[in-house]
Amino acid sequence: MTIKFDAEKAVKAFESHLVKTVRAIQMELLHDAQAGMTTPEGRQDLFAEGIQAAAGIITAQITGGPWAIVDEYGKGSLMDPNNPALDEYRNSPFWNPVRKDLVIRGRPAGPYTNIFGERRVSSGRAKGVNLERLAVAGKIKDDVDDFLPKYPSHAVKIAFRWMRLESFQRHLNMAIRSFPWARYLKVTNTKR
Amino acid sequence: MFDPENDLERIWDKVSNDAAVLAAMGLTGQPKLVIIKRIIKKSKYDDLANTERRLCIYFVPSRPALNNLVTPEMIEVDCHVPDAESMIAYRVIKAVKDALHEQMANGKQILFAGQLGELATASGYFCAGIRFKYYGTY
Repeated sequence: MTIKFDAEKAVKAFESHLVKTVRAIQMELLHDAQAGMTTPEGRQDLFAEGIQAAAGIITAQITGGPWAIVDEYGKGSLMDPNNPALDEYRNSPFWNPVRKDLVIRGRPAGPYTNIFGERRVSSGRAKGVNLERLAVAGKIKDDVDDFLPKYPSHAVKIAFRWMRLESFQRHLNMAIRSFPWARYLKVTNTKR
Repeated sequence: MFDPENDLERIWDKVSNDAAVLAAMGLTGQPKLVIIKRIIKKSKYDDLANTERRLCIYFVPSRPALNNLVTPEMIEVDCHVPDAESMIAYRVIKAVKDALHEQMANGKQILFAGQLGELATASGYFCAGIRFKYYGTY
C-alpha cells in the first residue's frame, strides 16, 4: 500500500480556498466597520474592493469615499488630527485657504471645490468666520449639519482591531478545517 | 430561534439588575427611569454631557459559521465615562462580564468574547468595550 499526497495540487486548491476565506474576512470587516459608523452617509460610502491573489499573496481592501473619511476621522474642531491623510488634504485645493486651524470657517469669495468634489461659489461674506460657533448658536438656518463639528467614529480602525483580536484566527481555523485535504491523498496498492 | 429583540431585552435585564454593575455605574438606589437612560440598548454616545456615565449594549454583525443553521451573534457593551474616571470604565466592564458570562438569556448561553481596550467616544470622555457571543438558530 502506498500513500501519496499531491502537495502541489493541494496548495494550489488551498490558495483558491483561502481567497474565499479572505472574502469572508473582508465582508465581516466591512459590516463591522459600517455598523460602527455614526452617519448613514458614511455607512453607504464604504465599499469592499475585489480580491487580488498574486505571487502567493492574497489582498483584500475596503475603501471609503469622503463621507466615510469624515465619519472615521470626524470633522471641524472635533476631528482627529492624527488622520494620516490630513496633511495631504490641507495642502490640496479642496482645503479652505483661510482655515488655519481645524475649525470650519467661511471661504473667501469665489468658486471652490469641496471635499465631496462639488463645485460651489462662496460670497466671501463669512471669510474666516468660525461657522461652527454660528451653527451651534442657531444663527445658520440652512444645512446646519454641514457646519457642525463631528467626533471621529474610528469605525474602520476599531473593526480591524476586533478582527485581529477575535475573528482572524477563527476564520483561518475554519478555512483549514473545511478544506478537503483527503481529496489530495492517493492510496494505491503496490505489488511486491 | 432568531429573536434579537427579546435576546437584547433579556441581556439588558441581566445587566441593569446586577448590583455590581449598578454600583460601578453609580446607579445604586436610583429610580428605574434613570437606569434606563444610563444603560441603553443602542450605541449612541454623541450626546454625552455633564459627566454622565453611560453603558451601551448593542448588536454588531453576526459572524459566519461553518454550519448555516447556527449563527454566532455578537453583542457589544461599551462603557463611556468622563475622561478623569477612566478606570471606572474598566470596573464597569468587569462587572458586566461577571454578570453575563456563561449566563442564559432568552434560552441562549452568553459567552465573553474579549475586550479591545479604549474605543472611540465623545470629547472629554473615555470608553472601554467588551464583546459577548451567543449562538442563535434560524
